[in-house]
Amino acid sequence: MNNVYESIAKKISALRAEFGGKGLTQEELAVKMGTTANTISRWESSVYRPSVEDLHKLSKVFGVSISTFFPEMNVSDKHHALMSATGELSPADMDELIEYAKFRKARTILDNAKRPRKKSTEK
Amino acid sequence: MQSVPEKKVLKSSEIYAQAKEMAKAKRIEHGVRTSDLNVNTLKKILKKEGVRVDLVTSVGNRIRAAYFSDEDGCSIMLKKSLPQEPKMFALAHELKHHLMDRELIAEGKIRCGDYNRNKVTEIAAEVFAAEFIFPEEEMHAFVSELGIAAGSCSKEKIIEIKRQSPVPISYIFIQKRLTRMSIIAEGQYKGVQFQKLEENLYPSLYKQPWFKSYRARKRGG
Repeated sequence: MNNVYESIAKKISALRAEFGGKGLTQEELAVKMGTTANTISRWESSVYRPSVEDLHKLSKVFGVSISTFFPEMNVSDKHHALMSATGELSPADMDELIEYAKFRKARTILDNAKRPRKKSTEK
Repeated sequence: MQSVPEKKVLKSSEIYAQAKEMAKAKRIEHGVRTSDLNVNTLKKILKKEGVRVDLVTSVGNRIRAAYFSDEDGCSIMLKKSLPQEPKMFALAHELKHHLMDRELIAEGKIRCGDYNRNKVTEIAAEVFAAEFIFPEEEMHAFVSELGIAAGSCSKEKIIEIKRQSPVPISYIFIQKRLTRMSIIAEGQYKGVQFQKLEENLYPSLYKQPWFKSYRARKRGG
């Protein structure tokens, strides 16, 4: 359970340090995220667990895909989806769908990480 | 070797009729009353059906909504900035995919981005959504109450339908339904900017002369 959040914590910290070549302070990132520096600090030390919505917002701030926080995420390029669209989709539209598919996958990973593991029945 | 019974191939008209029947059945199952329908009630119905709705700010220009069904569950990506009427229609449209096309989607037999191949599926979803939001019989009664009959439906009457409708529906919805009900001819009001016309006939509070002068007085101190 902790591995997922520890890996996310390290990634947030690394992305913040690398942002724009000179990095961002926790305060600056907090302003962009509409939260407090304390929350950023706690995400980076895995005291707090960012939600999938927080990660989506972070990915937008850093200009990366949400899958960046999940190195082992595997998203198929065949999307089991149907949509209401007003015409043929452009490559940008398809990219948005792929990003949403990643968001769904991230949510599943976090849901599984939160779920308490069943106790093993040792004899 | 046992022979596999052949699956009857349905005509498109039969598929649309099935979608309409499904909409009627689901309305009964969820106790839907037309006048109570809005985005929130639709979201609640979808939740009961096991579908999550995610409002997304940055979807492509052409995507209104998308239904996903795979090992990560069933969910709808819905464009947050859509006005209420298309938002409701899109949710009802995607509900049909969840109820009637889920298996085909999960098996990858029908996929997004290929409208022509999915044309019947998509039209059936439109039929379902229209019936789910405002059943044809109810709309018939409603239009009759307004004194509208075949050949007597002016542009202004269409605006009246929209303004008095018990449920939010778009001008496209109204025109398609009235065409289906043979009240207007197909394409009769093509190119008419109903929204603009409505604003001219019924200017919003902020555009009314008395409000403009009131605001000017206020600003002037």
